[in-house]
Amino acid sequence: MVHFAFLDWFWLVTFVVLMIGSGALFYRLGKRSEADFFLAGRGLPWWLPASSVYATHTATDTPMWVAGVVYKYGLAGMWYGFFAAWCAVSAFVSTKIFRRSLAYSQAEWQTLRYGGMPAELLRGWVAGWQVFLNMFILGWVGIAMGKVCHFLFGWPPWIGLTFFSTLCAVYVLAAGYWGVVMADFQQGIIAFIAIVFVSLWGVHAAGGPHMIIDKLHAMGLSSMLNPFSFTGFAGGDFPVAWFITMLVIGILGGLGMATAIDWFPEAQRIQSARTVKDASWCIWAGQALVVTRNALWAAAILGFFVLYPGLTQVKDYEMAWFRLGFETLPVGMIGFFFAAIVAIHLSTISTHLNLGAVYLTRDLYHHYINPGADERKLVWVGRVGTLILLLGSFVFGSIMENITEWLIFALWIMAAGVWLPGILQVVWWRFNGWGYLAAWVFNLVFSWLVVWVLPAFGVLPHLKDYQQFWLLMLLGALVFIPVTLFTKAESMDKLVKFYVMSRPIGWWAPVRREAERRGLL
Amino acid sequence: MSNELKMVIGMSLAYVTSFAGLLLAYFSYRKHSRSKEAGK
Repeated sequence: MVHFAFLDWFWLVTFVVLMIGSGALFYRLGKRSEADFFLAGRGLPWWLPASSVYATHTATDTPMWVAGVVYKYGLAGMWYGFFAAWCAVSAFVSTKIFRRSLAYSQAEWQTLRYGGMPAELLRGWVAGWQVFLNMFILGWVGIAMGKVCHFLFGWPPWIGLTFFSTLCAVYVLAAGYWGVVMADFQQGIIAFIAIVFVSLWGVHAAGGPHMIIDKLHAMGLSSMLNPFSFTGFAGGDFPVAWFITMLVIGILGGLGMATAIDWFPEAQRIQSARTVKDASWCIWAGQALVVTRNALWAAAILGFFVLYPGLTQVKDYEMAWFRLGFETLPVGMIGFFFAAIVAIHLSTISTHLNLGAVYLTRDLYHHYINPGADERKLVWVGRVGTLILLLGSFVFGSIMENITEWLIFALWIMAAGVWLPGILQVVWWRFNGWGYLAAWVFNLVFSWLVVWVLPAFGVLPHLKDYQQFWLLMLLGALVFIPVTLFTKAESMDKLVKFYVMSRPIGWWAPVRREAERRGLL
Repeated sequence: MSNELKMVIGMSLAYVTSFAGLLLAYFSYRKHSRSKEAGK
């Protein structure tokens, strides 16, 4: 249990008022139109969405995740942050293509890239998927805050889950994305200062870098310091094959767009940047901050490890970074640290409240239910959508402790089957809507078969993660490539329009020639 | 709750919402196609 002195309460109350106030201040801008409520009018300089990318990906559960992989694999575990490679490539490839399209959302992008019924079905599918995904993440991150508050104050987890998300909803409901991005900027600064300060403080408390290294050598755990410490080429918990798979997923994935693992908050930030160049730099800089943050956390977790080497249960060591702060900081700084944790939490919650509402409003309501809705009505629907996501997240959060591990696994499995189509839709003109839809639907069937059904009947052994990834990718390709080739290509009018607008890379020669023939290039 | 049941719940929640979106899109597309044809 942690006890707050006056100065601790001062930090906490001041920061919370500033965070909520800075978001709510933009109420007038947020209510102007749908574009303002969801994209801040597409007029942001690169550093604002960049701070939002970083702040969003810094959640309450992130230091728990870093503690988990460092305890399990040492510094090699940091390769699990392979998504940074995805963004580093994407920033100068698919980010530009997506920004030029002017789609509000990844669901809307489907109807710009494809035409006819498959495009509409894909838009509905992706919108439904994104509503679920955002609500799920809200519940997941929310219950992590519940755990932190339980650890600190002994509160029942539901209080931490509901109280801070509700506080956050105040400025998201009022100012939409304007509130999100402005508060994220402030929260990102507070969080970064706290991460640097607490991590360095923790390393110091463990005796400094040399002492940590010496202790790890003395414990016979030098391998924890080696980022290339793998368990063989194909066997063990962390083989080279898994490392290569992550690199391939990250580097090639950046050529396309993801709808499953992590690229979706970026999509909104890309569209809110004022130019294509701003969009590129916001993604690159946001991820650069994420990588820097991971490095600081990893060093602090190693410090915690040498202080508490005997912890073997996840529940004991996942709180490592929080314990470093609360157990070693002087009185008066505890409140500052907790305020930073609140900042970390609110920045993630606000993003997913607003992002889920984009799909409910722009794609499901505006596109399918009421295409004639005026701007005022759309802003209000956006607010109702935000509220639905908030309430849904409480339900998810309350059941999450039981299903999180499996749900994350399920999300990962689904990502395997749509990874390659996500790239092909950007780089290959002939890839069509039926092919992409088939990839999504059949991946459901294949993931069940490969992961559960066939191993249960002894037809297939239980495969490692990287083996499942490649097998699911191959099985998916055996369906979506024939489906693409046996169904009609998208109409040349549609493709030329998309090409001229978005300028994709790759195999687009027939479309480029047609665009040139029409005098559009 | 068994691990298998947790898996079923997790996978089902994700796909139920996606299919709901797909069905909404389908009915909306059909409605618009019909009204287009009627307008011809």
